[in-house]
Amino acid sequence: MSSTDQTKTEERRADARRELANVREKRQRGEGIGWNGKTLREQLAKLEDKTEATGHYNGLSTLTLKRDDPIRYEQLYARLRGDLVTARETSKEVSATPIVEQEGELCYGLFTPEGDSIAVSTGIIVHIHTMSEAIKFMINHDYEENPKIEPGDIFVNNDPHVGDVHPCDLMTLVPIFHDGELVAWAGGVNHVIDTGAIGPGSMNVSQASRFGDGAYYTARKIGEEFELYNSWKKEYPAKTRTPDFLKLDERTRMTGCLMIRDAVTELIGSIGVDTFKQLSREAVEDGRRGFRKRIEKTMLPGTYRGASFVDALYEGQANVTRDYANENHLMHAPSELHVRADGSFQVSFEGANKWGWHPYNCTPAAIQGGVWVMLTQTVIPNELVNDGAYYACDFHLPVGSWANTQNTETAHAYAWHFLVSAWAPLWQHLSRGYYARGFWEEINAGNANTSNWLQGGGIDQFDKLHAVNSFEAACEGVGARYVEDGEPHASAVWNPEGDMGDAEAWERVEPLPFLGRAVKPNTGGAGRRAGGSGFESMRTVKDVSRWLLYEMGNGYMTSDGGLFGGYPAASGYILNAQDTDLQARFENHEDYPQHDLDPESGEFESKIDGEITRRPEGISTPKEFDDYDLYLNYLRGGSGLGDPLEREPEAVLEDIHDGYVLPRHAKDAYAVVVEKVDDEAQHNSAVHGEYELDREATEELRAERMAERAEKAQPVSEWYEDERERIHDQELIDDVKKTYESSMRMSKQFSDFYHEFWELPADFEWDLSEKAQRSLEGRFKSGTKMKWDNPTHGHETWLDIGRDDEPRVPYTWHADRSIQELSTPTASFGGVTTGTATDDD
Amino acid sequence: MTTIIIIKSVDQEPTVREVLESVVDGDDTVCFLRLPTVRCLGSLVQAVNPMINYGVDYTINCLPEGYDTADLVEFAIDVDANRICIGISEKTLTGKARIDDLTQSILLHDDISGDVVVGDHAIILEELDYDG
Repeated sequence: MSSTDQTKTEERRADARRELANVREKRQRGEGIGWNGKTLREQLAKLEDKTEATGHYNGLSTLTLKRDDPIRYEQLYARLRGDLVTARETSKEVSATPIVEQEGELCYGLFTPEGDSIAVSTGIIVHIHTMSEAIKFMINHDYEENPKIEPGDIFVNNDPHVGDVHPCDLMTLVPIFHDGELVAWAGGVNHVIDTGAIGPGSMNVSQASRFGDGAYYTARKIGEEFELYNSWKKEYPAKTRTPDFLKLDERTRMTGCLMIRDAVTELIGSIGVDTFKQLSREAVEDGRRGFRKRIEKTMLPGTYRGASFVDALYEGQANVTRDYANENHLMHAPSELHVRADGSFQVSFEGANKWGWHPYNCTPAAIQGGVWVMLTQTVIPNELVNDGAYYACDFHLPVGSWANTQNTETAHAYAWHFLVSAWAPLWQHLSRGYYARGFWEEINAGNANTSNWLQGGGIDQFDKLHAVNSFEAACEGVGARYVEDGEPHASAVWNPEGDMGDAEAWERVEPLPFLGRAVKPNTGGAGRRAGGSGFESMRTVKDVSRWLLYEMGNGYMTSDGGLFGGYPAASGYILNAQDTDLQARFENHEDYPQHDLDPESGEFESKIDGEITRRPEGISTPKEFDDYDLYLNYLRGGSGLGDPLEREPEAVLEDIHDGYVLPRHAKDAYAVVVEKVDDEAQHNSAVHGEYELDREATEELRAERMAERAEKAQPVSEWYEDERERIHDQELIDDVKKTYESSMRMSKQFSDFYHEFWELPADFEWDLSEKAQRSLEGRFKSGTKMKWDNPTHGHETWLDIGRDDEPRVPYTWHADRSIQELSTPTASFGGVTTGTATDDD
Repeated sequence: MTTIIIIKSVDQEPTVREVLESVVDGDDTVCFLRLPTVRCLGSLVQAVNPMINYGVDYTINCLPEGYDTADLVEFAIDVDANRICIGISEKTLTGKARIDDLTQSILLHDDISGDVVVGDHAIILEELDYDG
């Protein structure tokens, strides 16, 4: 530590001691650390009471600071946000994992004393609200009394039931005091490389329950006077396989939080604490209004609905921790977006199926955080991302479903798998609204399923116990837009600034040399606008022992449907080769696989001998790999928009040369005929050769395709009859029947709808296998094990508590609903201002 | 109008509800004043939600450790309270409210006077006059 740093540290501690004396003096007077002597819990209770009673955050019907001097207000807010971004950019250099240093899987937030985010940095802004929940948990469980919240304290949390997506996102929270009052919280989160789960890596997949997820730290105090307790320093890193990396990650978060704390202290010194308090309140209310205004301007009121599914197949997988977990899981997410006349909206998953003995379950904090980060990419494309938006919407997440287990036994290590898949329809809900209102530039067919996740661990190239979690998954194709193709190999929706990272950076911490890395053709959904392509990395294994690897992602099912006639993104598959002749090929200077650009070409298999696994699934449990084995890391593409037959043939030719589409796929999906005119690579693509467009043949083929379509086309009534017969005759696989049975048991509304829609007899029952029945019985009997003793107001819809004065959840899934019941063409928001949306909206 | 509700325990939800329902008007200000033995009114406020359910604005204040009645009266003068409400902590077998020490000391204090109204859960000192 330099003498300057030493001085700064000592100053900070002296500040903490001074503040501590103030706080203790107030406590002697019976006062709390909240404003004007209130306790934090009183302050939170009053804030929620006032917000709900007035419809404005903390009753702020007028933004006086903004009204009186808007330029100054913007300057102050920009300064706060700039401080958060600076903290992130500086502190991420402290970390040693490419997860943070390369991908920036790090985010900071500044929160009100009650835990509402005022501003957030760039990065994984999913945590805009998860940290809020962790703070609210501490407040509502009387942490002010015990273990006390005092100046210089440090808290940690990674418990998803308290406020997190999954336990590998560790958060550090530091309270900021001024004159004995808590004025704000600084918080930082980053994704760590290992959580000490039953398998190596940050998001293990072989556990049945939370007890295999790794260590959970439930809003725990881990230091005071800005110094970590020795007991924490000795305990926490040693619980994982990568203690040194975790220590540096913690220093990263501490660095950022202290920078934010210093910046806030300085700001208060220059503008005064009252202005700071006003600014923090107004920023949240401003965020709430901004969100509503954008919804009012860009959407039509009413209900938007869709559904999504994703698979997680465990039958026959090795190393699953419990026999009863050895079953296939399908996630079912009926999704409704209710846009109300006041510009607020509700996301409802009524009809979602039961949680399962797998690590893809979600807590409300995870869903909210996840949906939030998705909304920041479309509804809030500006810097005003804070909890104001949280106050402008609500979520209905049925208790006991995968989306809200309210059961502390459930596993959550890779909540993203279901979460990312479940929000896919939400993109489409919003896009339909944008279309209706003419905001065509905003339309997006959806994101990619953010996988594959290459994970594993064992004894690495330095003979040390290690774990890996390749964050190449921070780079995925993006869904097609209405006016442009989707960005290829761009970023994952949960971290808009992520990329694939330097291969060399991954190789420094992973004993998995790259044999090749290339754009992966045919992964973006076909469409008039094509979905962005994904990419792939071919990795081998070198200098390891006891090394495990596994895959995680969508397999049989594609979770990202196309929009307006566009095709879905490609689904996933697994490709490994073990016990190979790769070493001999190296020594003999023979060809070896660098890619798997066309999985059906047999090219990979022709370049390697060994035990090759190629299967159309996305998930595997940890399996042993040895030196010179091969592993394909395939990162997904985004879905397409519009009819592929309407895509300009020239654009398809460009796609071939760019490596996004294989020539045979151009014919199959786009009806575009090309001819190879040169074998030499002339483009920046792994697909070799120069092609030319055959316009005449293309026109003919497209005409043929249209005729075929007309011939194959079936009236909906006929299709309905066929499908109804299948359901009546129960011609569905057991996993699908189990999924629908689960949704029906979860929701009478869904069950009624399903019966009505398919005209099923009242006594219709799914004919389930004994195993499926046992699985459902076991989970439905397990009840709830809630974490929050004292939920906040915001949790009412989470917990199905509801209020007497409003219906619990609107539900519009009725088979007999007709077009006449939809909003009229003139339906619109009451009192909405006309005019074009601006950056400020 | 300003009403002080003295909170002796977070279990006094019936007292608070009675006062908010029967005594206080929507545009009144309510001061929840907790005794030092009550560390936090968060759960009570969460249960009652005075603004949502009764439309009243309110403050939360506390009396210091070792307070005496003079401190309480001083607070009442500071906020210019029109009434002070105290929860009934005990009743006789025939259902009459017992006056506890705190209530008695307020009633007997030289600097404050008013009309006493007894409800089911609260004793209310109304039409306050300050002689100090």
